[in-house]
Amino acid sequence: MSDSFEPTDGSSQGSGFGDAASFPDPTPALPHLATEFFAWLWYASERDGGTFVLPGTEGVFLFWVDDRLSFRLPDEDKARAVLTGESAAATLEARAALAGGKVVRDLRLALKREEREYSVTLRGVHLDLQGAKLPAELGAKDETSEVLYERMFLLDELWFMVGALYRRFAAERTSDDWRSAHLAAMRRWAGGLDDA
Amino acid sequence: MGILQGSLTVRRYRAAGTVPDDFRTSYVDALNDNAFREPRDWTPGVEAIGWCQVHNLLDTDFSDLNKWLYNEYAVLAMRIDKKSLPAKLLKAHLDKKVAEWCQENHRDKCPARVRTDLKEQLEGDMLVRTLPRVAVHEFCWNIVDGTVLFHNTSEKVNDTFRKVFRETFGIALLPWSPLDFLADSPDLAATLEAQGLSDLRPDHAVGAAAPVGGEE
Repeated sequence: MSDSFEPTDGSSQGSGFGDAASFPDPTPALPHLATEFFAWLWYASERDGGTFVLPGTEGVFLFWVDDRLSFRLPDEDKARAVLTGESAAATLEARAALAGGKVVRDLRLALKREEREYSVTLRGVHLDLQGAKLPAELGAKDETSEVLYERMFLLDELWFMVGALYRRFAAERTSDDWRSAHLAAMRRWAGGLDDA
Repeated sequence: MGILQGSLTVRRYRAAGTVPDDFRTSYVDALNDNAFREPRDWTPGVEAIGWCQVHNLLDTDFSDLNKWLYNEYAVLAMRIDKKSLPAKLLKAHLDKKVAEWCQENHRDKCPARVRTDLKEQLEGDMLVRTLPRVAVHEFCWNIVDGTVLFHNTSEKVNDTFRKVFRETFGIALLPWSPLDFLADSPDLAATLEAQGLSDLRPDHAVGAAAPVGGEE
């Protein structure tokens, strides 16, 4: 390993210490984009049969809403409805919450690439990962370093898949036919008029 | 549950700063300088904060790099201790002390200054006999690509982590944003930011112009 590194964003700070928490986020995301993304994830997982084709030759992965969905009112942070258990996304209550004007506060997503299966709850404006379960790839290990490398590799793969989904969401959300095609279809789906 | 085992609950950051060439020595010094140390005198409700090893929260010596640096990954933990006294028990003991003082001094009421002194003395005595509430929050810093994963998503704890990290390493932590997924497409990120909240209620017609950042 080299003795000198530069962070990937190439930025640097002065040597004076201070309150890091007071530093502005250079690329803030508006809070509602997270709920938009969560609703789109749920819709797209049903519309596309849970299959996501990666660009180029990187293959495919599967994704679906796992065993938890929570909803809140658009102007509140507190969860107003929490649905858990097997097929939580398929319940009438889940779509009724959307159709009633609530937004998705968080959802538990399952992803599978080749034989590696992940499960994670996405929450908040930073897309915090909560309770992320990683596949046990190579079995028990003795060395801390081996455990760490494997877990970081798997976490990177999980993050890679979430990123691919977010880029697809961004492309659809900003497309010219968002309102006429995608949003209209999502409304039909939320109302139970279309099975996505 | 933590970086090395169990399920992961993490917030992602980017370390905005340059890691010095001599980080293997300078960071050992910085970590030892900011390691967790139990305060000699506790103040109720005040936190004691510092770094410790992930393998054992009592291990606060960072001289051995092999315990916390694994190639490009630094794996450490922030320990936060806090001592609090049960308010009702404190009040009950204080009332007894005040009554004793009044009896010894043949007074009907205890002056506020004396009451304050008695309370401080009582708090000191009780804090010595009280164990702290101990919290340990792990983090993993990829020194090569600047990614930091902090194993906690509470806003308060994350603010503390960013502050202590900055004071220790001289490097600010910038919260990761989903828009970073679109770093290769800045126009797309800007356009996405301008989109409003979609109203998915089926009885809302599609077609009206959407206000930027508002409801669609």
